[in-house]
Amino acid sequence: MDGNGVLAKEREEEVMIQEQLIAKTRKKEKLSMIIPFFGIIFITVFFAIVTKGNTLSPSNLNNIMNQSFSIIIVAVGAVFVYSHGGMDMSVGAVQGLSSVVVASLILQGAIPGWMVLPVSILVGTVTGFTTGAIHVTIGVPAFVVSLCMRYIATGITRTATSAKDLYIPYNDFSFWNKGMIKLVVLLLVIGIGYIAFKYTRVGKYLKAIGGNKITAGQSGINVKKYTVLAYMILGSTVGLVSFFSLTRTGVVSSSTGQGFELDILTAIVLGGFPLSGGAKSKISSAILGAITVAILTNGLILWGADPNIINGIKGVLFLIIVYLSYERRKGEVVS
Amino acid sequence: MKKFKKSIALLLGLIMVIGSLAACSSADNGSKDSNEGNKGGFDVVTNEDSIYPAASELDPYSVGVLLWGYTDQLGGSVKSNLEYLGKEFNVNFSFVEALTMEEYISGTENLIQRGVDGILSLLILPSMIEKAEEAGVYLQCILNESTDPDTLKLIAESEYVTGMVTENDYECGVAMVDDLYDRGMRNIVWIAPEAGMAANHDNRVRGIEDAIEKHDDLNVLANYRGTEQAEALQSFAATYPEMDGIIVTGGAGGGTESIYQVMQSEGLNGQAVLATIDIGEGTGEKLESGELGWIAGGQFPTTGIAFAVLYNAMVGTPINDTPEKTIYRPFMVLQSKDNYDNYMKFVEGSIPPYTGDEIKALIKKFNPEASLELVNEYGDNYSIDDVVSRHKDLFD
Repeated sequence: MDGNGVLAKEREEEVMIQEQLIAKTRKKEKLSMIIPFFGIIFITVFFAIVTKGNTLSPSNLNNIMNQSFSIIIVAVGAVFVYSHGGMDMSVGAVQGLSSVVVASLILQGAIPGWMVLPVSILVGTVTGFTTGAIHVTIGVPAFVVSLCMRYIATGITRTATSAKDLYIPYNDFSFWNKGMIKLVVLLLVIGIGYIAFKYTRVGKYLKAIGGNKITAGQSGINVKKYTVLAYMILGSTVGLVSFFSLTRTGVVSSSTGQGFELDILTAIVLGGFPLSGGAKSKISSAILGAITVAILTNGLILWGADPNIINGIKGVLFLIIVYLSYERRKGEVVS
Repeated sequence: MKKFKKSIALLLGLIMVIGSLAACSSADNGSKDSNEGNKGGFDVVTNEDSIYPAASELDPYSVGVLLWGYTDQLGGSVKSNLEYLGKEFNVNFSFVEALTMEEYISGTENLIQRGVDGILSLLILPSMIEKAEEAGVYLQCILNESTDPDTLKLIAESEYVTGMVTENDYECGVAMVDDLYDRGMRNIVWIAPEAGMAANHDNRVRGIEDAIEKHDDLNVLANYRGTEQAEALQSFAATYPEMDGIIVTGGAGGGTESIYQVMQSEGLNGQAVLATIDIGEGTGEKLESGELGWIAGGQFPTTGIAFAVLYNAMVGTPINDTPEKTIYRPFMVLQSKDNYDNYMKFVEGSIPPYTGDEIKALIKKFNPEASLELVNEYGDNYSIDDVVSRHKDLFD
């Protein structure tokens, strides 16, 4: 074999190795798309088997939709905040505040019925704007500002409900509590959120800010403006959820919204969403996480698990699901 | 990758095994034969002369329970008491934790989906009533009540809400003040969680305030509403050396213990007397030393009475025509170490304060004399002496 022949053979081997690497990368990519669904498919199948199909009955699917409705909607809003590396710990408190404002206005007859939903969204948006604006103007970390906002909102809610819980006329708003209405709203929010996050400059800029804030600024992105906008989007979803939650419970108490921010954080992390933000942020991750939480809680109750160890089981399952995401992204769930 | 998949499969398998055990432990309705306290479960009292049918002769029912939790003293006792009644009535209980209103509604949906015949719940909300109506599931409020006029209207119109049974928190507040007053205390302070946090504490505070109004010569030095209760008492002790009475509206979860500690550290022993709610660790010792003059507790048997009202409806012999009217029961009051010793033996001991036969006597299907009046009679008589006199023979 002459020199040319050796070279040709070496090139052939190089091409083969390259092809193998490409095939391996593609396989990995495909796998990375499938793995996030693995956890949810597994628990769905598992609970369907142990409850003899009860979890998959139409009425229970309606239950799961009702129970994951709030988390999914706010998780969609939270994607805009977390994708740029932000964090908002005031979500639950703002839900309480929004509900208090709306319920008070209803009880005083201060607003007509059709204005209740817009006012609720407005309250959420304004608080989101306040959090974002203080964060970018004074330079205080968003986490700290949102904690302060949490205390302020909780204080207002507790003061307003200290004498008695605020009951709204349940039947006047029960129309909004119907499964079909909620499904339409849910699909609309997911659809709008998906388009805004994937195809508009809002989502693209926020991911760029999450990737590298300084570079994003130097590239001409108005970092402050889009950061505030992200908190406003999250706030608007919280306001929307406050309204639907109020029509579901019919009452506002000091516990309204309590712990909701942790539910959102759990959904985000469970879905494998990188808390550091950046280009790998996906809206589907947050939605998957929210649905997983609802299916797991619902399934364990339908299965008849002991309440004292339900949290333990949940914790271990969450750990496994996060581990799957972690493996997939080599440490990028949390930077 | 294969190793990865294997380890995941192994882990998930492990979880499912744990879960299966969890499910089994929940579904297990077999009787226990150990003589443990109520945290470990009550013993079934076998009465061969019983005039009521045994559990094996009764149709099986399934009942869901929605409560804040089952690991604290009250929650644990409620669970043990209901599990005991489950063995006596052939009823399978499904216990679900719920903290927020949203969780109570979700819990109701999930329990209905599980196929329960009835639900015992701490909260009763319009949407829960609506779901119970749609599913034909009976709903009974336990250890709480609704005061919202719209909700009460829904309850009154509902075919499936069986009622609300709870302790009379207002009267308890009144009794705490009256007891300290009768002991000669004239300079008191009172402490409670912040307004709006818990309706039962708010009702106790209303009772305290109204009782204080009755006594012109009773001087309220200060009051505090919030979570820093021990710190508040510390400040009161430093500011008001004349303080001779302390009222705390309850401290389940360790709150009362911190009050005892402050009383000791601030030298209040022998100077001030405490009146409070929620019997727990240290109660006997403090009653003996005189630092604690009055303590109320023993709420968990109320859930047995609520179960009787629910069971009557489930078997087709409802006894409550006015579910919108709360059935109030008194707290059990302890004022001496003897009271406490009897409480530990006859209430928190191996036999619950109401045996299966005593609850069966409230079921119209088994006892034609059963009525709401009889339920109220049980409540009117409820005291430590009542339980001792009824169950003395069972311990001999």
